[in-house]
Amino acid sequence: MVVFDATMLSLLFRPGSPGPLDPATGARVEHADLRVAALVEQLEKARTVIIIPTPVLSEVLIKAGNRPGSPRRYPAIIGFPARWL
Amino acid sequence: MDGDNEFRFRISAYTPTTMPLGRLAQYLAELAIMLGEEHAIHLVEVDEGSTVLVHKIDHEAVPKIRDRAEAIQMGRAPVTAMRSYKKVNNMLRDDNGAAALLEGVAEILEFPGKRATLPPFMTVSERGEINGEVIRVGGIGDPVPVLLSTEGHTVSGCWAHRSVAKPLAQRLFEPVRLFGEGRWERSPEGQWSMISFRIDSFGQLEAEPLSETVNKLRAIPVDWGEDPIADLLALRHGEELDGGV
Repeated sequence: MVVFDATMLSLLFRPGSPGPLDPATGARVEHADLRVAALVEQLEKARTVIIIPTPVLSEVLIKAGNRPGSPRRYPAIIGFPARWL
Repeated sequence: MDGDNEFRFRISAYTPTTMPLGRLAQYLAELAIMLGEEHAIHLVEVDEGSTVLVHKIDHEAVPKIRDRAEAIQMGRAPVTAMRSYKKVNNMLRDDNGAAALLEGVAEILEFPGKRATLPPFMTVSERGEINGEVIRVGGIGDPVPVLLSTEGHTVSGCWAHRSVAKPLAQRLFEPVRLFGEGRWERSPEGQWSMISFRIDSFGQLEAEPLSETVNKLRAIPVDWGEDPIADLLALRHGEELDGGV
């Protein structure tokens, strides 16, 4: 079981996003897309349960909600009946 | 020697000069059983300070050792490995110490030992849910035992009354979410395990691969902006920050 935070969810939803800053070095984390892809592959292979706390999803979608698009579709895909098994 | 493939088992209970040879042998024996790959692990050094047993691991066995350490930490390693893990913790408790298995500086497996003197919880009952695939529904009585497979391991202890078991059996080998009341127990090592789970109802889950779901999420037309993580930080702290976690 793993829990995604808002940073991880942002990288998951929006491929090509600049990586977060490494708190140890202050530099951007490189190859964020590749890291996310590797994690997704690993979680899928292990059939790991993913927890997305509601406040995390809310925080990520707040920003999307202010822009053109269809952010309301995210909970429908993520939510019950859950698919990420 | 270089640090490649080097794992360290650090015991706080003794120094190299106070560690009895027999006790050292007991720790090593249990460690070998616990990690498996006995032929690929070689004790090469005993470091100063707390007793630190330095092991050189054959290259091909390193991923297996990592996987085994993770499985032990998650409580899902084979019975023999979990038994040895428990035994090492009991030995540490007797020796008034704790230990850790480290790869480089990263602690990959903790042995709480003396720290695991948690107040014993008999059991806790709580409503909850379990996701998994039902792999067996059967029994002549009522309630009916249900066997579940979840995250690669088998979960026993679930049961349901016939009124629930019958429709659940129609979902054999399909992913489901079970709702009900479980009884949980905490071990001295702090690991929670389920003793039993009464299934009151269930829902069907879609067995879609994670990567496919991710693709669907990414296909939703939303303008995320150039740097969503920086936007998140601005939302939390104000506009002056840029990027980061």
